[in-house]
Amino acid sequence: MALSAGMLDDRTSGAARRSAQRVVVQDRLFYLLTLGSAALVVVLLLGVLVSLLIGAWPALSTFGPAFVWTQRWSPVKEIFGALAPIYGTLVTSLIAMIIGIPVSFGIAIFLTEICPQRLRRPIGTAIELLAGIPSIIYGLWGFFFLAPFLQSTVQPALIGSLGQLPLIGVLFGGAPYGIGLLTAGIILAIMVLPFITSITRDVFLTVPTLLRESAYGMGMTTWEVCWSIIIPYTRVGLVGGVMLGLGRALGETMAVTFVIGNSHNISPSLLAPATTISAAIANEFNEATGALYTSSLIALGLILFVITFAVLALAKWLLVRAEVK
Amino acid sequence: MTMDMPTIPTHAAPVPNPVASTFVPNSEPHPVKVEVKDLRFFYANGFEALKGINLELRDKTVTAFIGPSGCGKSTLLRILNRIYDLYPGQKVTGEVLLDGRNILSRSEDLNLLRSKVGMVFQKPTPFPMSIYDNIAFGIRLYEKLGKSEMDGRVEAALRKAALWTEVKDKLHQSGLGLSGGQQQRLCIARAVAVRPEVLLLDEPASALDPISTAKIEELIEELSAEFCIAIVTHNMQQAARASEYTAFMYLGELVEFGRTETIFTAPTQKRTHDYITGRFG
Amino acid sequence: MSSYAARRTRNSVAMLLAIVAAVIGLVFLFLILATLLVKGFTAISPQMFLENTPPPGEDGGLLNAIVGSLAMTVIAIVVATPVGILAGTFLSEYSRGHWLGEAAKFVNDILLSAPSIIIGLFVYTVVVVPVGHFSAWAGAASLGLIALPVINRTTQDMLGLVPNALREAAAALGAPRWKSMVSVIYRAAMSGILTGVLLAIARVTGETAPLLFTALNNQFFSTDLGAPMANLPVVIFQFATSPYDDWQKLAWGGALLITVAILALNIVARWVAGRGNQR
Repeated sequence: MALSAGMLDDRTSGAARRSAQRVVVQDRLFYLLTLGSAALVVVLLLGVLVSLLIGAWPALSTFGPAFVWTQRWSPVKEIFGALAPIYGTLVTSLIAMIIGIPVSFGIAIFLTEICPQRLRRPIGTAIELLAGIPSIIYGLWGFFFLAPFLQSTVQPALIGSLGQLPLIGVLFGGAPYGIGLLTAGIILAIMVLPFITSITRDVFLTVPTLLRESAYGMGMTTWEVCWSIIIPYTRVGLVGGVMLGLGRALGETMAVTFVIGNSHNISPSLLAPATTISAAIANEFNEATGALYTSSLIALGLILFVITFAVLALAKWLLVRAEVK
Repeated sequence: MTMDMPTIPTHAAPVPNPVASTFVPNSEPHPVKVEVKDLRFFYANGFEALKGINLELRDKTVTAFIGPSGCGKSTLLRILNRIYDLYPGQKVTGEVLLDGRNILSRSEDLNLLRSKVGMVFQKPTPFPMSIYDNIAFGIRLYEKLGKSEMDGRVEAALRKAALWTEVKDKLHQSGLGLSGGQQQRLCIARAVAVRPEVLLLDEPASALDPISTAKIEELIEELSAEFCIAIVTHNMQQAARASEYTAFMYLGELVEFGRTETIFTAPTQKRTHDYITGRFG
Repeated sequence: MSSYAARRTRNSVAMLLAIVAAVIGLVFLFLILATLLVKGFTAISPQMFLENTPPPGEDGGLLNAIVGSLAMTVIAIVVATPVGILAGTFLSEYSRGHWLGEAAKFVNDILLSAPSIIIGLFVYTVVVVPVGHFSAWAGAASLGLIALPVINRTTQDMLGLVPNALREAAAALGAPRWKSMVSVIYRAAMSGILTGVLLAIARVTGETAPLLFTALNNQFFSTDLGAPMANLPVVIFQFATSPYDDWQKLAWGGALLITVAILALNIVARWVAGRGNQR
């Protein structure tokens, strides 16, 4: 079993040196391959930005900054303004957040504090799986079931009650179309529900057991533990998770396109048909005749990109801060 | 041979029964294999972890490094195969001569160096592949062997690590399925299979149960017939049993270095004496 | 003591609200799935897998759309997987202190949650416009762009979980870095990376918006990647919004098919990940 001296010398011989040099080259190649792939990711995002800018340029140069606050959208006269889709995007996302956040937090509190231990995993897993269902399914359901249901039952009731009140009455005025801002907002809320819930639950679970136990040990009720310990402790992470959900709602296309109604009129009523940026692009892009029409739709895309970029960047910054803590 | 064995006065023996050591010192010291000269090491934050170390490792000899945790003994070991190079920002000054050649020089080929200076880590690190491939992995890096030749090398390595009889029927099962002690011996076999000249053992038994530890120690003694071995341990019985030379380190300095029986029976430094008698550490 | 009673009441109310929220949320999600199952199952028949999309009023199936979706997904994943893994490798293994690392990590997270319709617009302007027509290649490109950040991110996360000791052990044998990555580290992270690829497939399978103006749709069976190609999501969208009952029925069938495929992929992904953790 003794080592032969010849064998050992092998590794300092010329052949070994050459193979060592080959290894250096291989190592370098592999490094450059990974570097190139990572650079490609950056180039792609820049490419998205540049291509949107170039595509949007005809519209932006024709209409100037007024594009953002003009409501008129007339393919016939080739006058385009982005206000209605921007308004629709913001309002549907706002409705989605108003409904989605409390319900998500409720489910997360239920899952981490109330639910029997045996059911926690199955329910949690089911919710995570639901987060993977494509948005077109939500849109389909909204189109065939939620919209008719709202039209026949909920909306007439809303018009009859809240619609008659001063001030907020205008929000619930008009005819029950079924489709519109409110319907789209509700669909978005249901869609982001599993998403925000999963993040919220994960964030809640980062609270150290010791902290939780010592709070209960002081005689706090479950609600007090949630409100005074868990939520403050996880505040930054919660906001980050909500922002991620908001980013999804803002950019969502298919869940909204089915039920928004595609109208470029801004109506004060939440029950009226409207449009969002993504729905306008999805509905009109292939039919868009004329360079200015196409360019205006790409300009809408650019605006959406800027909005979601801001929201996502903020979300990421907050979540990173939460991890650091 | 045994005449060299000093009779250790029991009152001066802080370590329970080091005489029971099965190790028999050689009458003639082996030639120097590794020479460390004025070695200093700085972490990326500028902290000086080694403050001018000078010592020699002899061929076919076990040298133990002891000292409280954080004293720099692992750091020293990780310089000898330049594994610290994986992490940028750390700085080394001084010289480490392997057979008279400075391995700290910029032109040193690290992969070749590491194939000559093998290492076994604190926790077993079997690769996620079969037992056979774990051993063959290192061999294939530097040698092109036929199937039967490779089979022979794998068997020899496993035999040398006293693992062959336990695994010969499941060579193609995952190495992750072995027990902790077996995994560690697999890692030793893997290191030995490459036919290194120096073997670095970084607390190789600290994560193992007493029976596995005993097996590893036995193994080290057998391997010392072939390799220059450096072992870091904070188990002083282990150092006393398994090594011929011992280096006691403290706060980045080499406090005392000499033959193991001298260090354990008649240390010249008070700090050494305090440490091995358990006053601190 | 009365304040204690008030606290208990407040607690009960809050807990009740949480339970109500959970029930409402779960009921809605359950309703959607139940509708999908009922509507979808009545639509599913052998015919659906054997015949192409029909003109209005005639019988037909979804064969061309299923094949089209599979083809574009396969191309997208085949291209995105190596690029995603290599990029993830750079970001996890090599980028320490490299400016590109920080930038690419941030950019990847943005791409990961960027609206998919934007990706469609991008591919439209860089592929469809120069070529002059819609094509399956363009559809596959947009799906690949959606899969890439998913695979990149999971690769980063999974490589991050491989203990450094394994990298050191490979290096200590004299293995060059690329060899250690390819033979040891990727293997150790294999189940995690595979999970990422499966999740990317699941993500891509349901994407509709980016296909609307890249692959478009095709009424006929086509294997020409240079031409428009039918695909399930766009067919579902078009058929659902049409006034024809037959088409709407097929849309539900397609929707169920997609959902089942995605749920299955997700479950397999979890199983793979779980198996990896056990070892």
